[in-house]
Amino acid sequence: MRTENDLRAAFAAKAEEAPRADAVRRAVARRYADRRARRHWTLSMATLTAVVVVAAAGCFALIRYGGDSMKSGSSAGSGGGLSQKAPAVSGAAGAAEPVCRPADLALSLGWRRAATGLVGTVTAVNHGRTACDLAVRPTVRPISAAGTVLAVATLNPAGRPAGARQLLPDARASAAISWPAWCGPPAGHLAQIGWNGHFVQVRVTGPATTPGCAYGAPTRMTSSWFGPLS
Amino acid sequence: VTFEQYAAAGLDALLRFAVVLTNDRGLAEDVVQEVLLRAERRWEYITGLDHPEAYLRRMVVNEFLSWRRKWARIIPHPSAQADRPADADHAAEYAERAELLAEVAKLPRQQRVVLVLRYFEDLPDAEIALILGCTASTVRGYALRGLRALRIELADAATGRPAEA
Repeated sequence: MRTENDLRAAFAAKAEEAPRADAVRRAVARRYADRRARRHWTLSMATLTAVVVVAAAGCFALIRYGGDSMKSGSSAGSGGGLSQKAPAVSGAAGAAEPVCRPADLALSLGWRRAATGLVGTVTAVNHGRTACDLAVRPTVRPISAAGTVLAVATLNPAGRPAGARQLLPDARASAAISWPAWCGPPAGHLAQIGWNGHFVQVRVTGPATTPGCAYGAPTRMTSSWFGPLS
Repeated sequence: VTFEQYAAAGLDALLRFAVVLTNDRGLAEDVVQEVLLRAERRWEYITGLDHPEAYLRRMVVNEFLSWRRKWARIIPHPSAQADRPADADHAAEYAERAELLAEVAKLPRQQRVVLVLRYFEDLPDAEIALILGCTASTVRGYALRGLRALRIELADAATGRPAEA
């Protein structure tokens, strides 16, 4: 039977096999130096990567913003002055939105006959001194010869177009509208055009009539977003 | 005491403890290296303690306890080496010690730590319990099971240590 002293003696003998402290010290110093070098290299690489990413993002933003600026500039020059800027960029213009009064915006409607019924164009001209928000689809309410507003529904899906659409002063924009069929009383030469909750009464150019009553054809109107005047 | 001063003066004791604990010279060296690398980063905190050497010993114990789990995922050799019996000494007086150490190396790690701390470092069970983060009665349980496995008689009149468990 062994005793606890045997265990002590065995442990003491084993301790004599301990490696030399000098060797361990040197190994630790070497590993510590390696670790510091590795950390330094990692930090350098991380810094370099961050610089490259920031530079690339900056270039990308510059190219994109520059492209948008050129696009909106050409739109203002040849497309009637409807500026289509990214939402973040249009913050200042959006802040000026309340200043654009309904009276500043002149709206007009013209119809022409087509195989699919009536196709119209709603034109907007900004006579004010500030940009007007035109990120809407116009709503048209025809008025009968008797002066009654016809209950024609306009399909206006919710949402907004991609990017802000600001109509600059003295610029023009248009939206297409179609009216496939109508089985109610005929329309006259007047109509109401809605913009941002305001309705203005305008005189309609073109055929002052309604599309025919075709069984199964939709009687509601469909309008597009405002875009540069084509 | 700076880290360099400790490395010059106190490293021997830590290495002796590690080699008894691991029963493997190479593994002891690796464990102590890991501990020193970590200790160097927190040296200010360690030297602020009442017993920095006890803290370092505890770090060695923890490193040893986590060693197999950590390195088994990377290289299988240290585990096998740690369990390898020490080279048998052909001298008759050392044969029994070599056999005993080989049996100690086969004990569960917690039991092994308790026996080394108790019989090599001569620490009381309460202090061993602090190092292992358990109670003194648990330490006594580990010691009892370890000693039974080694077929060591508990009541040793020469040391006066009573059979505690």
